[in-house]
Amino acid sequence: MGKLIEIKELVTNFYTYGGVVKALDGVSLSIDKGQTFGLVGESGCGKSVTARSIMGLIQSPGLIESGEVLLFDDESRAQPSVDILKQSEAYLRDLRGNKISMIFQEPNAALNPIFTIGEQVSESFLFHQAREMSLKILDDLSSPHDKTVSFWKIWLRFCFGLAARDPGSLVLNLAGRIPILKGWKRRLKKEAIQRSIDIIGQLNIPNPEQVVKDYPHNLSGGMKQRIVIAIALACHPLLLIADEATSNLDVTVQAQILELLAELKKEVISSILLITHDLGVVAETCDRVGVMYAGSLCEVADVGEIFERPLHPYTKALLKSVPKRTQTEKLFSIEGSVPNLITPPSGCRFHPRCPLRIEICDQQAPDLVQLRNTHLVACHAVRKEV
Amino acid sequence: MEKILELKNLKKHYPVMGGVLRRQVNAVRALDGIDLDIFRGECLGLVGESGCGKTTTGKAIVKLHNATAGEILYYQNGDDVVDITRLSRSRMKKTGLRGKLQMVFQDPTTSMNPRMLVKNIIAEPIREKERLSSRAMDDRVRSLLNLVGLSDFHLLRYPHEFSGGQRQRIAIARAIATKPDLIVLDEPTSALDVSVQAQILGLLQELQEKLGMTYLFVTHHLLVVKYISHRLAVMYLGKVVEIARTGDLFENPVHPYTLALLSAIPEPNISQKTRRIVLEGDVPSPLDPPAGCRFHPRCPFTAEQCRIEEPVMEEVENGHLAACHRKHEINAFI
Amino acid sequence: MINKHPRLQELKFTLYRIFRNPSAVIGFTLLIFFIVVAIGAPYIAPPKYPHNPYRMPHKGFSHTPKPPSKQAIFGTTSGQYDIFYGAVWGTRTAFRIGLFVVGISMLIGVALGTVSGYYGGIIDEVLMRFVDIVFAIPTLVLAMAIVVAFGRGLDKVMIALAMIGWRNYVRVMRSSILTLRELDFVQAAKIMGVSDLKIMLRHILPNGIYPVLVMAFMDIGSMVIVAAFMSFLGLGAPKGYADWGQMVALARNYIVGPPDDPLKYWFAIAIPGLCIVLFVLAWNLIGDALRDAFDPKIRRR
Repeated sequence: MGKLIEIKELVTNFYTYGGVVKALDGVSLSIDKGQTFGLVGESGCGKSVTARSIMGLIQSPGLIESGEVLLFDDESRAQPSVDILKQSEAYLRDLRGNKISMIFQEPNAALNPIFTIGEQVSESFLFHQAREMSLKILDDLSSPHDKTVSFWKIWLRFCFGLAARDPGSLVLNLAGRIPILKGWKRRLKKEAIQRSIDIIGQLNIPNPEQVVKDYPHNLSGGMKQRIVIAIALACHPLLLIADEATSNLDVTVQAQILELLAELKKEVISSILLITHDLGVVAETCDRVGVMYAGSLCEVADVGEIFERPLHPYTKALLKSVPKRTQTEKLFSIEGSVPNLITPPSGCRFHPRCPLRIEICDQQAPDLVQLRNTHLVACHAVRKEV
Repeated sequence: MEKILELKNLKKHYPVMGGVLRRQVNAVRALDGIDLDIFRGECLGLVGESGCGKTTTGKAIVKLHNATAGEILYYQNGDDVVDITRLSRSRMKKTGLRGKLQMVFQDPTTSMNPRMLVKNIIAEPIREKERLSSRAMDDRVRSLLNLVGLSDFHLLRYPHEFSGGQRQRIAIARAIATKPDLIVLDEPTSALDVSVQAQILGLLQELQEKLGMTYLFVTHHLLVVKYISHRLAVMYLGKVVEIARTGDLFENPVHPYTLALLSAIPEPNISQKTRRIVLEGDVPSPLDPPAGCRFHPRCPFTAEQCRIEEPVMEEVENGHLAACHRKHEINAFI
Repeated sequence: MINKHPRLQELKFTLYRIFRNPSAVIGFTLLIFFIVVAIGAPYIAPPKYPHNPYRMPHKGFSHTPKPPSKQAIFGTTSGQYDIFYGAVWGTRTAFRIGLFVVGISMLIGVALGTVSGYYGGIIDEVLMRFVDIVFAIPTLVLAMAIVVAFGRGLDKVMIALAMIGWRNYVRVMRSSILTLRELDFVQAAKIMGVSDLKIMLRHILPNGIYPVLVMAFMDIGSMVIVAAFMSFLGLGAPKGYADWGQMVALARNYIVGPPDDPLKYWFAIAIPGLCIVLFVLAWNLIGDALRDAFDPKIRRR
């Protein structure tokens, strides 16, 4: 299918009171089109930072020191890929919510309590799809069965003609401020609300016409998360990033959301980057998995490989410490604790806790190398054996 | 097996005031008649989703709130039975009962006073019960820290200087300081990382063996509770719907809600693709529970009787009880 | 890593948070300056009347203020009171007013707010209605009433201000408590059987006092202004008392000079005025910096 996103050697630091937190230590991964990529790891491992770097959302005191995030978006440019990190803020604004969308853990924090659901979902359409909507309205206006000519229609045609060409033009801005004549905006909003109803309906939410009039507090947690997904998918993004999106939900609601995502993947979304600490969710939904520890990737492989033939000692330990349905023996607990990223261990960051530690591990950080087809591991000891 | 605690028809209703005269118009039925037995030395898991009342049950046992109705019988020394709901907080303290029922909270960040040193956090419950010299207190605190896998290094520090797992260990040390009979654990590992969770669960098991304590493990995480509990009780909307030995519950679930819950668990295992029962809709509000069986609007096996009559907890087989009108027919459906 | 004492580390971190804000540094410098002046008053401006150093010395009775000269560094105000002396000893008065009024207000306010917030229910209702009544009392009218009843004087004004000054603290403390009392560690203390009083003192107060502290710092400055206002109206300090407000009152008729030289008597107003402004500024800047330092969201970066 081809690559969609490729991250190359991303290094990100956070400059805090306590020191410099070396959050990402050269992370490289790639996500293909149509793939669900699961990024697992414990807290502090850098999975959220990676996701935010893709969107260009790292703010002070964080700083992306080096690396590239390449987006293979063939529709717009002459070159095959664009480095997101080097783009202007205007490009990023166009990217977010449109080509790459993100949903977070807490649906309550993602929805503004004082606006209706309809207003919030249509915001995405109004910002990104003003041009398409204007064209559609123009089409409607010049439909053959409505032959009436009125000043209002002429005015509308003028406004939407402008909008179709350049939604941000100055003339249009002025037209939006003249007291009575700015009514054309209402038409645009109506169109946006209609699109919102469509997409909410696509997400199996009953009664979308009523839901757009509701406020967030009228809905339950699961519904809210579905609305958040609707907002994220409004513009048919190329990549959906889900940052612990189901961690706060009840198990049965989580099951509903996961099923929804699986369905949507077939039609609406291209790729998903699923960030989670729940290995069960990963096993169910992901095609490819990346395991992170303390700011670097330990292992990247297809989901079957990760669960049945894990290679990196951390991955193996993680799998052993998660309770399973058929668990009979004692849960394995990894010795020691997650390192402080201000003073991370030298060489491989996992070496102090690793059962396979050898000489070189505390001197040089291992690279992510391909050991079996498409199964990459970053470990000196494992590499030696293979 | 000796009983240590018995909950009889426990109810907790939170009144909802309304109208101009601020009279009670409705009530949030957080607990609507719970019957539960807890045996000495066991770990009883209490599972359910948000709004089912499991946390409320735990808090009722440690008297963080007063039950609206029902009894909590505490079997202190075999024959000595006390109904906790009847006791006031000061009475409980005087009779020494306070220290016997303790709780460990979910979030280790907010469960300890950020302005207190670890030493004082652990010493606080001991100070309430006895007067020890500063030396003796230090020794006691030190031995407690060692029990939970921490060292002297941690004494003169503030909680925020530690990781989540270490903080939870401090919270556990605080809970066992007064040598309690029963500890209510309210989602103790839900805020922790997976590998830390494994450590804490191991610690809890170890302590249970060493000190002979009883646990009430409240959580929504089914695989965790399966690992650590001997028996499991499933709650839905303020009532217990099924209770059984852990193994039995997972292999032969009877109540449709339990079935749905178990099938919804994402299994960290590639080969097992369980057939999933996805429930419709969301958990209804405890303000207005459905008539008859509370689960009937979402139940895939609803019958006419379910809409009218509320089912009672009855024994299906040895030690396995369920509250469902169609419990004997469920197996045919699966 | 050497084991430094944890409380010291905490203090260091807090001080760092406060002083990385430049306004805090300015405010603190100003405050230090005022403290030095206040402590060193007997040496900087030796009192003429040793038993009552607050009586400003005056050479003569002329109403017209005289400009700065060798005998009177800042000049003299109406009644020939030495402005320099007044400015120096006025610092002590300002501290007395601020600290006394805010101290008492905080004590009452925090106590009532904690009890009200912690217990809730009927106690809360009754106390809050009482506070509502106190809110309705106009500060100025109360001060006037007390002066009418007990005579003029700065101490009467201070008592008047303290009598109602606590009303803001009650509400702020109560709202702080309402959040805190639901937190797990308070619940944990209840389970342990810790008495209510101990919970309030040990768990709630140390965690909830920050907004009150910030308010208190800003208030110290405000109290000085209110007292100055009262003195200006003639309710506060008696004529000749070393108080900045008093001195502004004395210069009442000389704010604007003769038409050909309107700024002739600038020193009579400007100098005590500047003292007030700088004093209030110092406390406000520190209060502001404290608020940023104590903001839990950005506290631990």
